[in-house]
Amino acid sequence: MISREAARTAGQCRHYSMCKIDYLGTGLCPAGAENHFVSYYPQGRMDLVKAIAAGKLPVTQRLVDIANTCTLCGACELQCHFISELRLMSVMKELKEHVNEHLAAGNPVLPEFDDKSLRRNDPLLVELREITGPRWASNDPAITTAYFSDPSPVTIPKLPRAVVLPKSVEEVEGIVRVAKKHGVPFMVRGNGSSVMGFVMTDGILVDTQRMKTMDFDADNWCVTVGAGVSAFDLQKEAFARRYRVNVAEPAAMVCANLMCSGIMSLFSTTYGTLDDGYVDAEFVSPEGNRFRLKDNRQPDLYRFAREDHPLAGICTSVQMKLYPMTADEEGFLVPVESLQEALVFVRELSIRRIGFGLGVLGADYISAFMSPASALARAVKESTESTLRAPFMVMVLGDAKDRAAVESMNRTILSNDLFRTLMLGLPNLSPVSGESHDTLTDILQPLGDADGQPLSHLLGRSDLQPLIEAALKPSPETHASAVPEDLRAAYTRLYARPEMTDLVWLNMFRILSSRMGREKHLLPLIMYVPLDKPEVIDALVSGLKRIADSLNVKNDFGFVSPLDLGKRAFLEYDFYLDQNDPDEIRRSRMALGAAAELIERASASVNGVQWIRYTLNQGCCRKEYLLYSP
Amino acid sequence: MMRVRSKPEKRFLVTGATGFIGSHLAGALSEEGHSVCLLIRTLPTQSTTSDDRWNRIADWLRLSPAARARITVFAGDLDAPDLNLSADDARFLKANTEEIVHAAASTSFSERKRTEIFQTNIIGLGNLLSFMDGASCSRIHAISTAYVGGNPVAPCMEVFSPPHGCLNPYEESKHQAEILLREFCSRKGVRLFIYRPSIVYGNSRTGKTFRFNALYHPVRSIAYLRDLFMKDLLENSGNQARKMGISLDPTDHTLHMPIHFRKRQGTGVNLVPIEYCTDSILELMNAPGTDRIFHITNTKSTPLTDLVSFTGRLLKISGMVAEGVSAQQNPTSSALDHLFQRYMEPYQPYIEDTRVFDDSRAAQTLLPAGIHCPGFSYSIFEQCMTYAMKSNWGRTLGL
Repeated sequence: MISREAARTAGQCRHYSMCKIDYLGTGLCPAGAENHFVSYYPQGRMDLVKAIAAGKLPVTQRLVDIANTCTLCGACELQCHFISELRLMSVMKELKEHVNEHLAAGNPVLPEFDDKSLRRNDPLLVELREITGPRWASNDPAITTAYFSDPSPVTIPKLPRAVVLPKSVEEVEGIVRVAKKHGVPFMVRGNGSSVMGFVMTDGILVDTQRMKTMDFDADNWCVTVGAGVSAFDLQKEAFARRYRVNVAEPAAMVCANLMCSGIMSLFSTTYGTLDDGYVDAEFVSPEGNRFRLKDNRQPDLYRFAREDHPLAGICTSVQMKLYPMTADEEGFLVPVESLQEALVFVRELSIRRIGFGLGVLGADYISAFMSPASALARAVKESTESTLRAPFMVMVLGDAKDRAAVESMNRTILSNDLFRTLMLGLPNLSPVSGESHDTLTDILQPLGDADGQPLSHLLGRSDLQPLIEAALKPSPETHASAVPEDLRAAYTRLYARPEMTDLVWLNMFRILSSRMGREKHLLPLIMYVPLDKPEVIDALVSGLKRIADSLNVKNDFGFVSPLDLGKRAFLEYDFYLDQNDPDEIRRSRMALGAAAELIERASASVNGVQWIRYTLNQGCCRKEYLLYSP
Repeated sequence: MMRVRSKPEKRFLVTGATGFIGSHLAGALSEEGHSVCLLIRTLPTQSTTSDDRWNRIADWLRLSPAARARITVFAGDLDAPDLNLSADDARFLKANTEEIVHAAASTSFSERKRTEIFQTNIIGLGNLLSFMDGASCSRIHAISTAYVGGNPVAPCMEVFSPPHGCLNPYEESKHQAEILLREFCSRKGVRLFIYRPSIVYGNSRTGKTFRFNALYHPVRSIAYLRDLFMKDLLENSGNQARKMGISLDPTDHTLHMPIHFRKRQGTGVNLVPIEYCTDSILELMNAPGTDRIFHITNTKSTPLTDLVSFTGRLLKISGMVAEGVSAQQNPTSSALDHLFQRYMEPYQPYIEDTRVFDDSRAAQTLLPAGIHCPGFSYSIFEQCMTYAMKSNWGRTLGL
């Protein structure tokens, strides 16, 4: 019997896959790392518990194995809490208890291949198992359930007929041919996850988790990456060799990103996007034939058309560019009072080639990351907007010369040192519950309302730092005081590591955005926009906000990052929803529909506005074809 | 001061009753035996009702049970054209208000808050006047400010001022509000009383207050810094304090905290205590004559040097100095200098004030009644700041 509390927690899993990478350096779920199917990771176990609580999942052979392989080591507890504040150990325990009680009562266990509808083993599965070996293809409900649905409001859940985990391109070819032979559709998922509802199938679900090859070519500053390599793991290996790669969210698979959307990051301002980031790629066509991007006879994946595009093939590996790093890199923030001001400033930086990573971030984005608890994040956001008068900040990742250049532009700079001080002392800056004594915020609050330069200007003064340090007492322990007591020791250890407050590292590994979906599931609306027309961007942002507000859908500015020397930019605006609230799902669907109309209208009338939905399956197109297509 | 009157009971409507001056006036009127209706907003972000908000203030004012019984709270909002009153409440107030005390105001000086300031001080007033148009009200008592655009070289007289010299949107809005009131009252035959206090602080005898802005905030900040750096010096070897030039005198435990307060001109801040403000207004409500604009000001301003020295003495801090600088000078300042410059910025025009307030008309009524404004001495400062610190800057007041 699953408790209501465990079922509720399980239902909150956002499928962000952060339990599938060791992004905190605290270890990976051993069962997941060994068995690769999503069901063996905490994310999958959450879906299984949700299904059990709903009476939709019997005890099967695989479920028993999944329960038994969980050692309750607790590695997932910190990983999940860090991004979502969820406490999932009770869910992991209840899954084990549920299976143990079932076995103890002498109840039957359904065998893995007992497919009652076919009255025998599914021939499709038999053939798939011949390709991958029996361990890596399954139609056990305890496996397929973890691929059934996702938190997107537009998802149409589908239970795969089989889930298969190929190891090599040859196995992918074989799987595609089997699918073709049986006339069964297939869908590919990089790490098994789905968050946008695009990759549901009742056919074969190909999960590329096991294709984890990484071959570095130092001579050519390249790395060839298999389809099962995550952005985080690749960055980690590149970083160890003193290189950097331009990748997406840490748990996203590099090859999948290439196919779906190209890479969008703050580094795209110098490293580019779409075809800029790779040298070549290998695919398996829907017919099961291997081809390379550079092959002349193959489909022209460099072209772009503003239309929905079918899958040209499964990307099985990609040859990515490596970028050099210097010893004097530093991240810093430039606070600004309006989006317009931020856009003009970030464009100027981009035109002047200042900074190797640039982005305009909203107060919500920054405060969410800085705060280990959502209540604290709300207080920090409020202070940032009203007291500091910095509703937006321009993130600059650069070297010492870049910093000197920004300083010469007479801008307030919130240095990485100050960021670290604020982050590690945050609980003392913005106490969530009323303090019995004055805090720095109480003292600074009246200055926020005053005329003259915003308070952020004062905060940026280096000679004020001793006061800030004395007031905030920044330390890993102070930071950890904002989380539940039993997690404080782990958070203290975590924040004793300098990279956890290093803006360059946090951006490289894309940890900075990892808490954006903490309160509610995130629905990012991403588009390319003309950065030389800030009024267009402003109109899009205010239009999206109006739509969401009118439907009572939580929303906020995500980020803008310049491209192509300030001519274009990415814009992300975010809607949020409680994935378990039917009314919110209904309203967010309506909001998405209205947002789509707004973006399409802008796209049709303004050069440079392109919606990311059209890059789906066109992510390796030539950048210029997309950015400058009419 | 408990005042006993032989005047007949009147029915007042008081706006701004949760504010500092408005609450004191509402309490004093009810203690005098008048029926008092209060128009109080229900705050959308708080769960407390208008009644709750008033009851807490009434407790803090220590109103007698009889006075409390003479007060009725109406949930309403000056931002709304119909004041957001229910039909019954609106009917009742229109039929039963003899005199209005309009104390509701935004007291922000910030240009950035111009819209909000004008919303409350002009549009809100306009809504109130429209609402009362044709009602039974015969007198309006409006709380204005001594700073409604007075002349910096000639004495500011107790007359309607010409529209010049306003230093910030607050002063501008209060000037416009006076004009609006004058036009309305002359058109409707309503008697208008305008009271113009200067900067109001807590009770000079008890130190009591529940507003800790203006005079209080810089002192609060200095007290905070003192505690912060004392702790740093005593518990952390003073690592941070030293970087800011802060040290502790080992003999008398005085904290040396160098802060330079600057002023270019002027005689100082004109400060009046709340009890003088309240007593004066109640007395002036029945002043004879047709000209009814009254300055509630202090004949002696308090120079910045006094305020800085009072603060140093009370908090046992050395190194804080008030310096006169010429208009051309812009000396380099430390982070603390800069911080306090920011605190003082909105008040700088009042610190550097050269205006002289003529209060001879008010004095004609107040002096015979024995109502005097005390000079702002160290003992008053100490009384007020001790109350502020004991109440933990309002945290323990339960308001």
